[in-house]
Amino acid sequence: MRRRWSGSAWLAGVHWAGVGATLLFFLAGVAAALLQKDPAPLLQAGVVTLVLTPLTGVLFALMGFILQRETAMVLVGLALAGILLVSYWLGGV
Amino acid sequence: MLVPVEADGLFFEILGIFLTGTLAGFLGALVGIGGGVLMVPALTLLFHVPMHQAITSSLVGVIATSAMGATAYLKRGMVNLRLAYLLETTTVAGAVAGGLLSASLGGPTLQILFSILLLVTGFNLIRRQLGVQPAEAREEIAATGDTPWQSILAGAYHDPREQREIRYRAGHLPAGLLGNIGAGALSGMLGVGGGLIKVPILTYMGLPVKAATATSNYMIGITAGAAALVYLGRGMIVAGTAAPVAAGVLLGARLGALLQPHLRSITLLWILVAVLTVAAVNMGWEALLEVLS
Repeated sequence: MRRRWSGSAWLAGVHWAGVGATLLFFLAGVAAALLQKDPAPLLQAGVVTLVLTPLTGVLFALMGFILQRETAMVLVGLALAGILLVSYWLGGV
Repeated sequence: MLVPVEADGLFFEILGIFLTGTLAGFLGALVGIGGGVLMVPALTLLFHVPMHQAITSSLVGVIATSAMGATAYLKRGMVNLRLAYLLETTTVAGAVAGGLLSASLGGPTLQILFSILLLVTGFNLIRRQLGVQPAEAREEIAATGDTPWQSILAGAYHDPREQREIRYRAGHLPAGLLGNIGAGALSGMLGVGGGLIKVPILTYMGLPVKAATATSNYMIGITAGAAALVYLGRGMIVAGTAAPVAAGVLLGARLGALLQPHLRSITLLWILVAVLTVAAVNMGWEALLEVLS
């Protein structure tokens, strides 16, 4: 039987990186406000990073399933990635 | 894309939203509910933030809570990733539909729907306090009669309290896929995590409560992320509100998780039920007045 992909530790890393980057953007935004600069772009970057964090995790998992040749899960991952793309497209309508 | 923050005059409001987010995340972590259920009424009733803006900000907070929780749950191997991704195909579809519906509904309609959600959440907390728990899942289900999907979706995790590996299989797949459309729609439409629906569905499918909670927490982030994409595309996320909510909820949830073992949460739970009821009545009443005027 083929070994199953077990990338939980990788995905945990992706989430840590996402949360960390988000907090850095927010802190930079606060610092910018204290220095009388516009914090908006930094806060926006933080929000976008946070929104993309779980979705990046999905892409990571999809790559893992492809590398491990788990055909059924590759199809599930592709379907999910497709629905996510459609949701962004629908948002712009 | 995003609506920019107005440069001046907002410092104290942003600080207030951050502190409210911290409190919502803290209380949510103590009694086991997402911050969204508390954050939306707080934003609309205390800060007079428009309903749509409160929902989108809360969604960003929900992603923050999920991402933070996922780091721990994933590291401990408690998330059933395969089941999560399969169920997310319908959950995300529900969330996108909910997001689109929410964008087209008026504020008062959403307020009335949210009032009902608050009452249901309060009722659920009371039920839990009175000991009406979801049935514990069937553990170590026999390997006979497997379908290929049941093998793919089987999971296991190490339970440190019982000092053994808990193995389980997931069944009732069609019901799980269908039920999660509702969970997704609720999340996308009202800006909440939807764990209220997801955890019971996952336990019904055969997951032990701990695995169901971890998998639901992970799924919530993807669901809210998909709905947030719809709102991002429509320019409905206001960074000046969403950022302090996310930062506050992150801090509060972390504090709540750290202090939870040392605090008695029963009194707190009843206070929270009272707060949810008052917020529900208030939101419902405001919405009715707006509809009638």
